[in-house]
Amino acid sequence: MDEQIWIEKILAGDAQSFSCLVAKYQQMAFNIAFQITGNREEAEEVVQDSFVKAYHALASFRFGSKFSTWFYKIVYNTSITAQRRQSSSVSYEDIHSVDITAEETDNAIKLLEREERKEIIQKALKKLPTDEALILSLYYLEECSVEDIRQITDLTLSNVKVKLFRGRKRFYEILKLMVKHEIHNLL
Amino acid sequence: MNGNGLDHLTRDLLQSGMIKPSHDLSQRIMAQIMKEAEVGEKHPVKVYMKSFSSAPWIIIAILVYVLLAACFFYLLMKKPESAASAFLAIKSHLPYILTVLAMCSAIPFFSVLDRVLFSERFF
Repeated sequence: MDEQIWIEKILAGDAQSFSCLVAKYQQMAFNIAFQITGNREEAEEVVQDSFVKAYHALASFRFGSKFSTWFYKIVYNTSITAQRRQSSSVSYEDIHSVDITAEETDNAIKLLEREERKEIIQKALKKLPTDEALILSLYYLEECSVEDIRQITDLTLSNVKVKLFRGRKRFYEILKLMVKHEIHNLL
Repeated sequence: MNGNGLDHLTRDLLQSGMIKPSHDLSQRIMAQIMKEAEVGEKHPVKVYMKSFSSAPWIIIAILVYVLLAACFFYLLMKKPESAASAFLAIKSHLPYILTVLAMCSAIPFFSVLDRVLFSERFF
């Protein structure tokens, strides 16, 4: 397994090999952190802290479990801590830069469609309870098993299954309502 | 829509709704990691030893202590006057008892030490 080789190199002193782990897990770590904190800057800080914690704790990682499960648990715990710290502070509307590819520069409509879809999905996820949105992301985006999710979130197996089912159902209900609302506005 | 179709659709929707982090996030992370590596902050290397609970060793430990207890009570019954006299009674056997105790303690200790010293993480 690639990860085992990378981890052995890192533990042997080759810190540069850590970039392989960063490249592989950064996006999903950011997803988890963003689901919990709801704030881009905070999520990026959480991801950075999590990777640093993982770097220091790497010697204690046992290959009995998956690295992703172990690491996402760190991200999850760090996100929860950040969220508690953040709860008293004021949150502002998040304005983020848009990724524009070369093709979409000439096709503004496609770009708008893509951004609008992203916005709708994000709004729908924000309306879900945090843990349900997180479990949906872990299950569908990272293809974590129910057991992996149980290890990351410390929920029981049945709890994970129930939240997964409910989360998906609610997600579609919210999307349906939002689409109906948009059509109504257009008319 | 069947289960697989719904799963597929959910995955597609969530993927299309994914927000990407800043382009320079990975660079910032690596800069921090390299700083940590350069400064060489010493964090204790945690070497986890397998818990020493294999059945043979537990049985040996129990047997040794049962044997010792049996010897002690036998001597007490033989000379029930006092604990002091019991001690005097076993005094002559003390070297043997201590040797057995030392061996029983040393064997597991040195096996674990051996495992720790030759574990990759230690080096």
